[in-house]
Amino acid sequence: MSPAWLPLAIVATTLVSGVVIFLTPDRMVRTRSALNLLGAVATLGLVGLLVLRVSQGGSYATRMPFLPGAPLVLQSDALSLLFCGLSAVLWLITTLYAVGYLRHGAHRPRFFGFFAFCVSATMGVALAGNLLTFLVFYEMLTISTYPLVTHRGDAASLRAGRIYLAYTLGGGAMLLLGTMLLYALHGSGDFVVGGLLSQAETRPGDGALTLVFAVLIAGVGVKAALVPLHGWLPVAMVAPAPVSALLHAVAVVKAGAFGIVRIVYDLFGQTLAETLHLLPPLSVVAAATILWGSIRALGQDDLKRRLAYSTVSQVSYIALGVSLAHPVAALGGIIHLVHQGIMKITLFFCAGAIAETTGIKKISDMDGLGRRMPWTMGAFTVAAIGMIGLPPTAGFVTKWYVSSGALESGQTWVMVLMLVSSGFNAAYFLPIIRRVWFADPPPGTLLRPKGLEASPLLFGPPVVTAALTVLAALFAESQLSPLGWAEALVLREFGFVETP
Amino acid sequence: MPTAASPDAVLAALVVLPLAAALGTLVLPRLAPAVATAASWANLALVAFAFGTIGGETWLAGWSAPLGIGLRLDGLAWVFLAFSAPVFALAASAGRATLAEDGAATLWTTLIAGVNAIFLGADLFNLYVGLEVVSLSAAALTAVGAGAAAARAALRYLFVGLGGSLLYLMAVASIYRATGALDIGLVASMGLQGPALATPLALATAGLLLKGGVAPFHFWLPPAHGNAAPIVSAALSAVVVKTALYVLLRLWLDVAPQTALADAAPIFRALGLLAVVVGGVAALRALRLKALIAYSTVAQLGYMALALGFAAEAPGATVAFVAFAAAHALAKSGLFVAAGMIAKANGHDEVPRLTDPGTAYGPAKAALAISGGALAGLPPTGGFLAKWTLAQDAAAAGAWWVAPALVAAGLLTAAYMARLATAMMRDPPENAAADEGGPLRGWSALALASAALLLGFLGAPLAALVEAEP
Repeated sequence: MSPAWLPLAIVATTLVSGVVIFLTPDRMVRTRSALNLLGAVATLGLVGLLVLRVSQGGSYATRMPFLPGAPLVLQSDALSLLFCGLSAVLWLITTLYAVGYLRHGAHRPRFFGFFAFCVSATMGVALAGNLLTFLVFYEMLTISTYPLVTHRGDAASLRAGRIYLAYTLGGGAMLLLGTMLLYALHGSGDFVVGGLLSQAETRPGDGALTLVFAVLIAGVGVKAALVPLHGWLPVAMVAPAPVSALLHAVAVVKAGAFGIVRIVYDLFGQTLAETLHLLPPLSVVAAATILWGSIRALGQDDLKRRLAYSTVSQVSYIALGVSLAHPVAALGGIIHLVHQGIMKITLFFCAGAIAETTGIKKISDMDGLGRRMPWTMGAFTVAAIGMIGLPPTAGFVTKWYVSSGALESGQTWVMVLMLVSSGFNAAYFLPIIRRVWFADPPPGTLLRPKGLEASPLLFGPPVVTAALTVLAALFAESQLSPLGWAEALVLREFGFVETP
Repeated sequence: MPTAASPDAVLAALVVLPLAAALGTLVLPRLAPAVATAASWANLALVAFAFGTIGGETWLAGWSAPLGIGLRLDGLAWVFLAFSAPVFALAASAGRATLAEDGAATLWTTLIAGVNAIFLGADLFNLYVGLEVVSLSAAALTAVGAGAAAARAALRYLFVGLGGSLLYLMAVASIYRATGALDIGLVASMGLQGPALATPLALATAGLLLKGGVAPFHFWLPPAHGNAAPIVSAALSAVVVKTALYVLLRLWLDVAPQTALADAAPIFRALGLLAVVVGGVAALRALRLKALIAYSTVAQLGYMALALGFAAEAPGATVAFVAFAAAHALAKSGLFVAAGMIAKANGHDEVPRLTDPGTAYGPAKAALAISGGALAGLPPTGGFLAKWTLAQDAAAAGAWWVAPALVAAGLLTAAYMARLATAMMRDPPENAAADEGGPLRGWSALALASAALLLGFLGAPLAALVEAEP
């Protein structure tokens, strides 16, 4: 039995969901939502099946003829499944949230259709078995997220959309250039455990490879919001809350960060990356991004903008962990793919629920909000604590591993950076928490909710993801936790056979 | 006994059938649009059928070289037929109203006959006849059912077409005087050298670049393509300019020796880059939707010139040339049909004021998006295939600058296509009347755009067809 079609089926299911949603007339809201959820559940089922098969030792790849000598390949390895699983789970939760959020909005077929395309592109990015396939879906991601960012159609959204496109298409162009150069130099761009180029018998010259590495990282660095390529991210905040949630947690920034992981480990490989001294500059950029994002977040009063700058900072933990050339730090970076996702999606869900229910968008207006929206603010608080990196949350696990790895490899400055960064995180999250729970609400506002605090579709999803934030930490040692997966993965990438 | 599938019958039918249909439109003026549409689809079926006869040649009316009209079908010719035929068929279905205008159906079918004759042409004089037929019918079609601006543009287009043909005719006469032959294979075997080769090559190239709208000879193209009826614009940009570039390719690959092409390569490369920049910048600044699309054609023709500039040293560059031609033909015709619908729904075609025409226009908007992506060379479209092939082959030949140049040009294209994407996100004014949208037109546009997308996966068969020696 060879279900080689399984990776393709995952991408196809999401793609077909999108087409079906587009073809469902606007007025058939229930039918469309049902079809949408069906697609999301089916995708989750397929990903679950793939995870099960792979954990039993199976390995699947779908190959399709594409360019002469360069096929499209979708394959399942531990890294792709980590990202696929995250996307499938969060797509389902975000779809429920979006149905509640857009209950009265216009252009819903367009919204949910492109939403599904965006997930499809993310799945493709996750499952891509070579650089060319990665590029195809990376560009598809850009195109399918543009209508989501500009969904409201007003002048501010269209302006933000132009900036978004300018950055992401520019990044896509760099990635395309890097891909063209690599295939022209080496004839292949397959993702191989241990690194295609590290293991190749003959490889192009060092200078050319360094150039290719820089061009590729600049390409994926735009979506990963590495400073100074991060300018689009705060601007894209005009998007509706479910879009921001998806963009920041799963789709766009994560595709960029995931690309960095793929390029470093599976294309260049640890050995070659160290030989060519490619990683220290990446560490410096990641560290600068972590600090700069946090500093900028401090000054924002708009809740979503503060969260956006926080994303700039947090996503670079992934790049940092990968760039430290130490297995434990790499583990911290890779699990942060998942951890940042569940924490940040919680925060954006909450921001959207608050804005939809109360109209509040500014942090300075959030006094006493915890009394009115206890579940929402409870979820927010858990995720914020995770972002600061306190136990028992997923964020703590990340910082623990990145710091330990840095210490073990003698890069003490990273430990200091982690502490400073946590200090910044606390400085921009704790005041919000203090405000919503301990400040008195402005006179005349509603103190307690009548009935439910918001639509259950708005506060249910963040409660679930906040719970996941805690569970991911409490059960970190389980084989099926993100950490468990990432451990198996790092052991292979660094060439360890046994658990140290 | 010849069977029904004999190459003779199929090749002859490709020229005779559209001509017969043209006569039919004159005999049955009321049924003219239906006849033209049916002939366009029959032409598509014939082209599909002709796939089995690749490698064949025939002589019309029984006269052989050097007197008869020779038709020859190799892989390259078939690919050009294969992307042109669906454009004619789907555009005819999308534009019944245009074909119902006085004379349009006759001109349309005559155009198909001329185009097929050029792609199948095996001798230099017959190519001239084909070029003239195409020029005259295309110029007349430009004026059909459009305003005074279109009439002026059509007249200028006519003069340019005649001028280009005249230059080409002088080249043919010069070759005939030197060799006494017109058949492409015969002429090539004569081994012309020195001025006897350079003079006709220069004359013909100038004429064909003029007819093909390659910068800096593109001045006539945007007014003609930008003012004609949508399906005419689709045929002009997708097929008509390609006929001139097809003859140019034949001339340099099959008639001229490879060393001559290597000598001329820098000129083609320079013209190509010039076209990409001039067309791209003008499209970025264009006010009107159809002008934007027309300038985009100028840029895309530049890619073809650039690819020709590498054909001497990199065999894959010919494949890239064909892929650019095919991807542009399918994407641009889909784009013109879709843009025509969107402009009509808006009541104007000023890009900064365009708005989303509503859900009834779903297929048209999808066509717009896919075509735009294909023209910008986004993966996995045919435009991407073309750029990838050219970049890889140029790099293999040592020209590493081509990859960044193509990527930068793609960004320029994406920048002006983004103007259309922005327009489609703008909500229409409150009082906008919802209309049906014309589903047939919308789906025709989407079919053309989807073909441009699908082409991206056909790189291997395309290369096999183009590189196979007949």
